[in-house]
Amino acid sequence: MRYILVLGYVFILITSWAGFHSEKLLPPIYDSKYVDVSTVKFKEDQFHVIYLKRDSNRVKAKYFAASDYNGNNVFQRYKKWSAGKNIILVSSGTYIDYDGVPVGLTIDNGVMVNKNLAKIFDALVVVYANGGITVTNLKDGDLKLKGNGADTAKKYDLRKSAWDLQAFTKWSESHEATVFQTHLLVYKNKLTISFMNANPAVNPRRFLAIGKDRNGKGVHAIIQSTAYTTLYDGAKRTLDFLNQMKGMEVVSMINLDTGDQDVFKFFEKDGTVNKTIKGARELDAAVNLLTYYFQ
Amino acid sequence: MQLNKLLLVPAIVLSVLFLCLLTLVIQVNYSDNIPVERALNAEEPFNIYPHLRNLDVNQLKETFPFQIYLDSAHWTDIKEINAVLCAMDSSYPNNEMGNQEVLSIALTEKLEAHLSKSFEGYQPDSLIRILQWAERFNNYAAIDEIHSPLFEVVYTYWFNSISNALRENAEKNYAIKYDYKFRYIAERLREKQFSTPVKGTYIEKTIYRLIDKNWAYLFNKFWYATSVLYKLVIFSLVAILIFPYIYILKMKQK
Repeated sequence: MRYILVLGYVFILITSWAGFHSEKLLPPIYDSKYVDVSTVKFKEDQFHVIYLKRDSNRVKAKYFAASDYNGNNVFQRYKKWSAGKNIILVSSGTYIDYDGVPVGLTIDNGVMVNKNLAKIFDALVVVYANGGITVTNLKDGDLKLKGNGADTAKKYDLRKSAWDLQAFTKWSESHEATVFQTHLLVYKNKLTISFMNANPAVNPRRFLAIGKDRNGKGVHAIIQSTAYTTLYDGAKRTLDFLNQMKGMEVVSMINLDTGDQDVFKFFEKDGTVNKTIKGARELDAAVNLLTYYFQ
Repeated sequence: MQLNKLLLVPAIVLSVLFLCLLTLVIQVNYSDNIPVERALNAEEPFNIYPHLRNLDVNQLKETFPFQIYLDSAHWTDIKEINAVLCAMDSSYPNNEMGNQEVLSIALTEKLEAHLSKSFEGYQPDSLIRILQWAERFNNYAAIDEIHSPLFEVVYTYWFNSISNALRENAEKNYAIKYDYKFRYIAERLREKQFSTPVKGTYIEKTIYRLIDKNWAYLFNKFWYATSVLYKLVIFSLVAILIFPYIYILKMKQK
């Protein structure tokens, strides 16, 4: 009888332990060879880096720019969409104005949100329906389009040609592309932000860098720095860090909003939320969301 | 008597703050006489045919007589725009889309250069007049499918230009964004999904975050992003405002 009781207690202990730590028993939500996380100190600054390897196209991007026509806000849309998906991270995207409208040209899945091509932002980010993402420098005026209805040989200059801008918005609508504008901090491995006219406000910083790793393979990196820096300082330090420490050739680097909607969540491969790399606000505070998922 | 003197300090501080706010409010231009929309009919049609002779269709973007067109034609009148399009289509058949593109250049970037004085400084009446004219092209596009590419381009270009001009003016003088006409134009643009990205001042952002109850952000910003001197000034102001009340409470307890 005593043995039965002891065995019973042991069974209860084991099952409750397994229950408390059930997340440890869950299968991984992504292959860790595609997602590399590290916290690195470089020249007195601490950087949290999430390295997303884009080869094989297993890691994909999705952007929610605005509420949909049914009145579902970005958070509700994200929640519905993310059910059953292997989310790696989710972050606030571009800036918003006081009415919660994304600043600059914004198209959500082919639906126009803001038609204003803002002069203040040089980065035009295109998130494709297939999970791909590209950043172009509007100053260069050399955007190239693929797919039906596009002149693939033509370089579209959206700033200087109203005709090209119209062609681009039509193309985005027909290809259900998602488009937004933000600060372009680095382009072709060079800083594009100037010390002279950069905003002097200091904030913690979060950037999305797109480029190639030491082996020439495509990578996306989310870099979070908790130090309060100006946009210029933050961008410069991060570029130095990525070039020197990570050996990354940065094709483009854009800013992700850490102001009004400082939202960020990173999921470990067992699906638990990382408690160190995070934003100051909950996901429902976001007016737009950039997410990376594994497929 | 001692109590009255103590209360005088926060009263002065609050009065100064109130006067500052009053000065800002007084500076706002509340003028609401929006320019009346004009009829835009040409009395004498402009004949563009002589100017289209001997032009190479492949070089039309470079050789089109933009200056003559903008100086002589009634480019505000849709009938005349259509007449010019017809003339171009008959002069350069099988190039309908190219002709629309050339005329779009005339009615956008070339016209903006032509009207550059309207964009010098903050001139809300000029911006409203352009807005009234450009807005019509959205309607033209809806009823004329063949020429809708041209009309949409003109409409989008000018709404974009007005939106960016508003922002640039507000960057130079933050106070104008409270002007009636500024708000009027910004709302007209917003209605058509051309949101004007006007930047907020430090004080405005702080007030918005107070309303939003974003306490963590406010505290972090104050603690990590401001100088020691700034913190001292704020603490001193808070102390000046609070001290008399603490003093009154203590006196009452005694």
